Amino acid sequence: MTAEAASTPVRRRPADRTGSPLEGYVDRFAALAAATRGAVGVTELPAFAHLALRADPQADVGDILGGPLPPPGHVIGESPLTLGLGPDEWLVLAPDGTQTPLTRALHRVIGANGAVVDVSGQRTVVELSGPWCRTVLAKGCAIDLHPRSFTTDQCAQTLIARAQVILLARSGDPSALWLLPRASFARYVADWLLDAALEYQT
Amino acid sequence: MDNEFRLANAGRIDRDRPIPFVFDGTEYLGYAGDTLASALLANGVHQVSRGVHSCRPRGILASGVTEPCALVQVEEPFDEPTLAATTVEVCAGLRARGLSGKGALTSRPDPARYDTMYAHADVLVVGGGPTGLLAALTAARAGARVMLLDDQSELGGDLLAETAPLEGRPPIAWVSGVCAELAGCQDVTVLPRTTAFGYYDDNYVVACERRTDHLGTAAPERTSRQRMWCIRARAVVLATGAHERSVAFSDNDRPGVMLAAAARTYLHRYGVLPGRRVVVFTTNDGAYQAAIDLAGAGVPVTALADARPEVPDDLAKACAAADIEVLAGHVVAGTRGDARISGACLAELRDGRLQGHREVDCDTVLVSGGWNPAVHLFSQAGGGLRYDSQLAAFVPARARQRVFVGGAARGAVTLADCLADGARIGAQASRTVGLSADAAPMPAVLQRTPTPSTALWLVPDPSGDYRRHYVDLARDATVADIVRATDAGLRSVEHVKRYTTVGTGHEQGKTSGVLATGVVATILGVDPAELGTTTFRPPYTPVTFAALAGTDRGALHDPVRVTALHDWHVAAGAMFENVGQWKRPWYYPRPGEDMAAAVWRECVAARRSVAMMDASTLGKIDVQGRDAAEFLDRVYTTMMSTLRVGRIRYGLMCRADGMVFDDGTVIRLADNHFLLTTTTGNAAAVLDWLEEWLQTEWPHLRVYLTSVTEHWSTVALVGPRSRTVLRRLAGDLALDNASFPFMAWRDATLAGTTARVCRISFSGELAFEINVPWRHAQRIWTELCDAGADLGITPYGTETMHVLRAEKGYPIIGQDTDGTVTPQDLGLDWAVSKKKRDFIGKRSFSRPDTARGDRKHLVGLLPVDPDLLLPEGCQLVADAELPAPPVPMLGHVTSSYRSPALGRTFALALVEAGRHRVGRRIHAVVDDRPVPVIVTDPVFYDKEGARRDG
Repeated sequence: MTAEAASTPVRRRPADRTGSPLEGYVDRFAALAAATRGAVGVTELPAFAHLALRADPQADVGDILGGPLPPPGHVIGESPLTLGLGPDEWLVLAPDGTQTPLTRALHRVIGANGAVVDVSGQRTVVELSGPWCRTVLAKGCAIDLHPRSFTTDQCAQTLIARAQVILLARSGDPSALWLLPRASFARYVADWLLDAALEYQT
Repeated sequence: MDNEFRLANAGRIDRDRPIPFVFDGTEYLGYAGDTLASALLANGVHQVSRGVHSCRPRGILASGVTEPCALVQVEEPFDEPTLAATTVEVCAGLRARGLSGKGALTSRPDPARYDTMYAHADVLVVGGGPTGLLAALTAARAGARVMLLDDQSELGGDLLAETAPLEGRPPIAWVSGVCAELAGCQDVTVLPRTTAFGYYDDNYVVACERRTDHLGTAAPERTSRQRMWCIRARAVVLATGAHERSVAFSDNDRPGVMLAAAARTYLHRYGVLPGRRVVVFTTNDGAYQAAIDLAGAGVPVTALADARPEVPDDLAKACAAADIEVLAGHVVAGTRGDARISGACLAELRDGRLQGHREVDCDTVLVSGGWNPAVHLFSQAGGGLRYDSQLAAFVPARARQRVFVGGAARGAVTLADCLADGARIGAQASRTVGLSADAAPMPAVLQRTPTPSTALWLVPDPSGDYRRHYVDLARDATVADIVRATDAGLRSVEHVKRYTTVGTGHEQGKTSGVLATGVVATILGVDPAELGTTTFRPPYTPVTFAALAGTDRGALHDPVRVTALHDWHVAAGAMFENVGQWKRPWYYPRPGEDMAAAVWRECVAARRSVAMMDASTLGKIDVQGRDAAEFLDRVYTTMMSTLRVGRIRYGLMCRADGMVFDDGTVIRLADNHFLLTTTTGNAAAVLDWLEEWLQTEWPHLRVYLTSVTEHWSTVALVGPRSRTVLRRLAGDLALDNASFPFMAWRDATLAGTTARVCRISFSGELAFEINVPWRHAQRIWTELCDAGADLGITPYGTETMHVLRAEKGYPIIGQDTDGTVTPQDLGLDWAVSKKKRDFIGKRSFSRPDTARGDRKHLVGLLPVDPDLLLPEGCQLVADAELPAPPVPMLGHVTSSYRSPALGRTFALALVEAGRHRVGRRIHAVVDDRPVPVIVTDPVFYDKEGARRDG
């Protein structure tokens, strides 16, 4: 991948949601933020490159991902951002458009002893923010979301109500969480979040 | 007169907030803080209901969750059946009626919201009485994440009905102080009105919080009415208290018979007198304070019968000072009265016999047969119990989980002991989770050493008639019923329970269970320790299904999965079909069209011109790794390793039993890289199946599976003019048969979007499957619509897809198969490799059963009447006349449609030795009438396959 692409902060791009799974929810999310006076914020983030990575945990990808592969439940980097999903399984989030160079770069290191798959359409990224967001999530998520227990640079594969998601606590904004539902489940998750946040409307 | 039994000043009710309510059609006045039971008693209403079988009048026995008989049906604000009046808080708009055992479910939809909250705690404290409060305070001061649950509207437990000073102040002042400190701790959650009802492995406790029930019609709309708390705790403190029990004596069920502690609660917590003239009957020290307090409130206590031959000196003196006659060694042998007690019969109990009967007038009999520690949750958690003969009760013994029991729940009798327990186990629990904890200092409290209670379960009857000695008032079960059980030879309390129904009511034997053990022990002449208790199962108290369901109802009942094109389908007026959790377009009716007409039109478009379908729901699995080809050879019956890069092959998967499990296509992207498709409904099951083999059987294979179902959106472009449409978008991609043959794939740029195009056909027509990432699906779909508009490009749904594939005899796994069908049964021998050394299912094909000649084969059927559409699932028989049952069945219809291509109806069926019957006439049973059908080859259309190349 190119140096520019790698250094582009993943959050600072124009919000192109064309064709995104929650394209039609922009107004509902905005209404929720207004009705709860920011107590609960839900936003679908613009597209990322998502790469599923299977490899030896010792694979020498530090130059590409900005550090050694993290153990399960941990996250490294900012852009790209690498989530440890299993002992030999990671999800890499990078700026949209970098799929091909990043795949090639990882392939060169991993060869036939692993896999790199473009899964950019598989999930969408929903950002939850506001002081009540962990409480809203706790209505459907069985893992311990206490800030001491699920903290910066941690991730988990879990259920929100009846949909599987990847959950991620980012550095920078300690109150915000990222939620990665599969695209076909995104509306269910969004509807569930809007319903769960109802009682925090003023 | 309103509230004639209400004291002017006592109690914790809010006299500034009167609340009118209706019971049995009459309006009464209660106050905020009242239960329905306390408000009824305040208004002199004792009879609430009637016995479920006996129809005898029944009153209010208890003051909380143990109430066996004061059942009501709440009619407003929302219907709810079979609630104890002692657990219903008086609320705005409350309307209820007394219930004889069984309530009625409403047919109205429940407008309230319900939800769930998952929580995690270092120390979970169940019970907010003195023990629980001090335990929670100790853990909170140690810095633990604490949750404190209490089932009452305010914390304090028995301290709400206590008058003896604590630290020189009224007990409630101490409670308020503790609550204030807990409220100031960041990681402490205190939940009143929350009943922990289930205790499972790994300290998983489930509780129900009643959030707005007490607000009645004033409940806020957006707040859930009840909330299910699912709590994982590192340590649990059970301070669940104890339940007072009654004694089985004659006519012990009349309104006016009340547990002594309940009377004290009504007096001190609600400011309500239970009656005007009281007799007390006890087996222990506990009831004395109720007698003394009532006397102090101006209620004459005619007599206090203590079954023990010796009465404690200090209590005797206190009674004398209150002008209460204490009768040692006496019992209440019976009561008289009609809807309400008018008198009691006292007698001396000596050597198991009654003597010296004496009638006294009274309107209330307070009874205390002893205290059962509330061991329900402890027992659910796997904790063992032992019988304590000093207490005449079962108490916790060994624990199986990290749980600490204290206070009355472990058999402590005095307040001082309860407080000491709380501080001690609060510190213990905190230490087990790695915190250094000091027990919170004990508040100063009066000390008194209790005298042991006596184990009296049953007051003997001189006549031997035990038909009115009630054990379980909820079930109307008596000592006579238990005698019948033991006479039938039953010894186990579990058997007696099932024989008599004792303990099976709404309160699950909270007042009757241990009493039944005691009665059985008395009858059999054994120690209750030998009999034990019945099993304590969740839920501790009844829980509504709505609370258990939480938000999993209505639109959120089950996830609805949609494709990237869903909004287009909705806008196009599609009717939808559920396939697993997916919504798939079924057909797209035009104005005035019914389903048959729409499907006919869609089929014609696909066969004669061009049509398109959203096929995105197909499961897709990316397979990579050094051993990918070898792995696919093992899991498919088809040979996959010989597939060339750039080409596609159909594949069947079998289970180890040789039965078809799934089918789909395999495309080879590179030497070590494949992409599989699965059926829509089986996508997750196939991925699980493949991972199971990889992880448990073949971990040495270097293969990596990744689901890409949502990554790729798929559009099937079908029909003789599909190539024309595609060419308009495909730029320089060569689409002729030689350059782009059937079962090949090409990467291409279509209208500026990178796409993977596969020449796959599920209709027999020339067809392309176009795959693009999710976010580009809408664009490519509308581009195709526009490009084919002049050719009448027609979107079609799953029904048309089914017709087209059935005309070609392509089976749908799961519709035309049922888990007992082999590839050979389907006529798919060609998809089963003869060259491969092994694959999953291969060995089963050599079993005699899979080689039987009379197995059911997939065949076609043509009804002799070409307009007759056979019902799918209808049975097939040989003859036109149905013989006497059992009728020999040849098979059944698996798929049935009207075919525009054939101009008639047709069907697919699984038929015994079907391929040997081709050309013969058999019969389908339609509406109990055999109708003739001709067995055919399953391929009805374009047998030579000429159409697939356009």
